Amino acid sequence: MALTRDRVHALLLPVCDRYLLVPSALVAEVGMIEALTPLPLSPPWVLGVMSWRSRPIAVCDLGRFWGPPALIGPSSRVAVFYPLPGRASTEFFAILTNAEPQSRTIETPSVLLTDEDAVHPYLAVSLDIDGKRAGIPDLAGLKELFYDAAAAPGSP
Amino acid sequence: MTDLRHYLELRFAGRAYLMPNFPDILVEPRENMQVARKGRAAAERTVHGASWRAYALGPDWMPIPESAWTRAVFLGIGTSRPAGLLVDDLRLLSASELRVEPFTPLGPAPVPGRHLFPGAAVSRGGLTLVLAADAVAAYLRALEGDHGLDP
Repeated sequence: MALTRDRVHALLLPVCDRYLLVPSALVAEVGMIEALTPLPLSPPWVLGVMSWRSRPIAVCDLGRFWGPPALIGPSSRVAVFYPLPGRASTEFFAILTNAEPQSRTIETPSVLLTDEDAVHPYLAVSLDIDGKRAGIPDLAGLKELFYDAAAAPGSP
Repeated sequence: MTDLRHYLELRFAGRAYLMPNFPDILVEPRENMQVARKGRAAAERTVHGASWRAYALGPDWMPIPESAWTRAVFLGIGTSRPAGLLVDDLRLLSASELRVEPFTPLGPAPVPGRHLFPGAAVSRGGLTLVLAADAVAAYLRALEGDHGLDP
């Protein structure tokens, strides 16, 4: 099964044993991981909080949903995402990656949907991109995971 | 315009936190406290026959039996159940010294409807989480199983 014939500028984020394919427009910046402040009482996939452009942003290890906890090393990077639709303009967040993300222009012939991991948590679709196992994150699912619907947004 | 608000910088479990200095906070030195385990509390103060329990917390914010605490910071003293946080040290900071930004922790809130850390102060030296006093008080009360939360 093939995707529609659009060209999409995207980033391949190496996370755990696969890649996350995300439109470049969702990512504000890719950078080194800064000092992390632990966030007590948070789920294990939240690694902590870091300062980005003088804002506190949470850093998460989505790879925990597909494999062992990430090890932060010299090649680790963070992809800082713009706030998800419907969230406050300050609610940037970051996803830890194993290495520098790769920029791609995705076109139909290079992308095949696979049945593998069809029900994988927080992946809307699994893909094969030039032999690389990849997935498109389920943003609606991530929004439910990230934000407690009953809790007020941050207001110190 | 001068910002007259203040924050308390609380230090415990090897980390610093900031809390807006609201009027319903009471700080008691260790010598005014009864240091004895009661439930999950490490100390208490009896006020008009009522027990105000105070908790020493570890880095993961789970209660620990003892720490190097010097003061108890009681929250919600205008309510029927004040709850205390035992801190190693504290100091008052002017809001004008800090750059506090809103923050929304990811994941479920530890107490219904409220996150404990709704902001953070960002500086060149790092990042300090800001506490929501009422949410922290609710969390501490919940350690004894109040409010329908598991301890």
